[in-house]
Amino acid sequence: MSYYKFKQNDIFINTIEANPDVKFYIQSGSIYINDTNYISGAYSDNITGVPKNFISVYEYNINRDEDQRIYPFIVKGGQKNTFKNLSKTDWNTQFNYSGNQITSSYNLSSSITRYLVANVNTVTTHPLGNRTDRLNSFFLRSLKNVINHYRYMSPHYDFDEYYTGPTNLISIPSLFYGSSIKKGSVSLKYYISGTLAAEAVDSRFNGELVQVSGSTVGSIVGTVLYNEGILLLTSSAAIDSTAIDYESSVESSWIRFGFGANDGGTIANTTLSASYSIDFKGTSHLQTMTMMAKAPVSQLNHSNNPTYLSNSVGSLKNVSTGSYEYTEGRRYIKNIVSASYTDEPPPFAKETYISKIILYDKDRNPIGVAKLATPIRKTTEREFIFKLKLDL
Amino acid sequence: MTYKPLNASDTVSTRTLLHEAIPLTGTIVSGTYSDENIKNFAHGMFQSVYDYPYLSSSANHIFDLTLGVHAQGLATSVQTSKKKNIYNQMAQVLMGYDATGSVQKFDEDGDLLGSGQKLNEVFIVPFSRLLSKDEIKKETFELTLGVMPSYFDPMERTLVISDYGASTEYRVNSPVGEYGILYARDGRLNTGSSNLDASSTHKVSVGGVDSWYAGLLFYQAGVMVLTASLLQNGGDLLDVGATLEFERDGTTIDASIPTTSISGAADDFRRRIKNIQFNNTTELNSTVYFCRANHNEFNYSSNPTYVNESKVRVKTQATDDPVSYITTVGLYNDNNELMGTAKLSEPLKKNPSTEYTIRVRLDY
Repeated sequence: MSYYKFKQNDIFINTIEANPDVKFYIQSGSIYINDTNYISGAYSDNITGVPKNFISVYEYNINRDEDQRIYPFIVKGGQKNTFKNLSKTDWNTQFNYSGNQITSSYNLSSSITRYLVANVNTVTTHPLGNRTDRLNSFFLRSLKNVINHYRYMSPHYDFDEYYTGPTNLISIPSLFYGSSIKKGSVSLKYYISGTLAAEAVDSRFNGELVQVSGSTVGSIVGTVLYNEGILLLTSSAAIDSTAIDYESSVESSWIRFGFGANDGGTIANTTLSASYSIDFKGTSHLQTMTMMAKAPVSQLNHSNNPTYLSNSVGSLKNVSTGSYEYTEGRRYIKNIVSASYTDEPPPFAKETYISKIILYDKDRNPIGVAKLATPIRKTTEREFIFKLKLDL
Repeated sequence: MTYKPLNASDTVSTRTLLHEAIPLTGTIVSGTYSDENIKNFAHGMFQSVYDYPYLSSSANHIFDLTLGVHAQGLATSVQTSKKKNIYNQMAQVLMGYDATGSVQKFDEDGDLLGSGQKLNEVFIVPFSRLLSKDEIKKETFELTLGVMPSYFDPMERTLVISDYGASTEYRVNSPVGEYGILYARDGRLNTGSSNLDASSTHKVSVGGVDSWYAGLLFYQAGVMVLTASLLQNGGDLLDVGATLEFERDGTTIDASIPTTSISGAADDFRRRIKNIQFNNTTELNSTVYFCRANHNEFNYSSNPTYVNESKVRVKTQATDDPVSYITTVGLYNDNNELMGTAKLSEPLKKNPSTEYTIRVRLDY
């Protein structure tokens, strides 16, 4: 076994960017994620154990009864580790000092949520007003700095100019898109009675959602916060004249887009005729380390493997001992050179078969093993470069 | 923004153990899904068990199940070489080699050179890494096995097989890490007559309770090895008063192993599993950086919004104390290159009369 040190040009790191398609289809308060149907199970109407409209984050506990579920726990200790859903007060009061199990649960769920902000100033003008309205206003107001930050991309990221009136905010968890939504991939489709009434896309790659079909083609109906996973729709222009029961009975417009997407909206008969589709691509990055392990000419032609030596002439135990000596018998390298004839051994040559490459740290601790699918014959004339890839 | 070097006493590495409780009822393993969750392969060397019909993308692989027979074990006539190969394959990985280069056999008490009996016919269950994670937690494993002689009502009498006492008593002479000894005890908690042979040579006392050697459990590898003798009445281990019908036609396990396929034996073994449960462990390694802001530090900011018309915005008079709000802690390397940032949930007001130690935890 020989050690070789990687040189500067033998190691490099690549980043692979993946852009998976993501689709939400919303109709009558139901959200279909990536066109997946919900399968009814023995214990709930969804085998994943989370409510419909949501994905199960770990997909543990498929079709399991409540008391048969896998759950995580930690043992309470001095490091104050806990689960996020446990308050500091509960941590202090609901368990003994140490040794008790603090449990949590799986079947964590995730989905998109729609917030309709009628007036961003609801918080200040109606401090005791409707709680939902006030909360929704809070959500939008908290985005003021973020929205203004993106003014370098488009003037439509001006909070005071565009987002003080009715705003339809759709929040997409990063679980669906990774590090950011891919620019130019967003497409929002608004269907009335199954017919495409309007479509908006971010075709300018600057976050502006431009309507490309329907009544007001070319107008900017909202913006996308790519890194934050938020859609902001501000256009109140009617895209269909039929009154539909949204928050109230009104004509369809982009601020009604996504009605029923976990927003607490009541689904009436007329609401059923409106459906919505959100398509985009996510972005995820995967770093890969590539290492070039070289087997040079005239090297790596000897092995310390016991089978490298012939057993026919002297075995491992062939030693002679006396009062003053311990001598191992002479051992010969096994001749494994390929030959065309069987009646005469081929001329001897040193050959090895490389079966694995081990990676060591600077202290020569083995930290990884790369195995070959089949051993590679290494002769003194041959040289190889083995390309090792490691996902980081 | 100010740089402050971290001293050795400001950094500490910690390890947190996160566990999961894994219950696997026998009905998942056999019954609920009419074996649509059991995947057999053309090679016939093992079968895979899922927690839902495996054609569904929601299904999770929970374990594989196979049968291994040593060359010195029962003489088999069906899949002979495969049963031997599986035994040797698993034994060389899990038990390693002896001084002569021969594969070590599975040993019932883990004392390889001692007098403990070797296990020649074993059911081997490698649990999915999804379930066993970094390792199976010691002394949490429990398998309830139906040992009623009747093939059709196997759960009327049961054995509980567990790694009793393993949190303090386990073996380290395996190439794949630590392993514990599995012991069988009567599933009826000492009520009525015992299901186990009281005069057995496999009987030992564990924690003052009579227990019978039943197999081995490899914690880091997540593999259970169970002796097939557990299902043979009168085989010096089990005593249920009548011949235990391993196959539907009443064939006993010692007659079945030589003549049945691996998948057939796995099917018959599965339907006697009443329950499996264990806890797993995941190690979470963290480094905690104690970032200390003394009273006379970090009271000013180089943020552009800190000044207005060339005056400090938060001071109204020259004699006022300076004030800053800490929002972010940046971690830099030796070359002052930013490696990571820690954000506070809300800004911390800092002035010369306050001191903070901000605990930044980095998990990896």
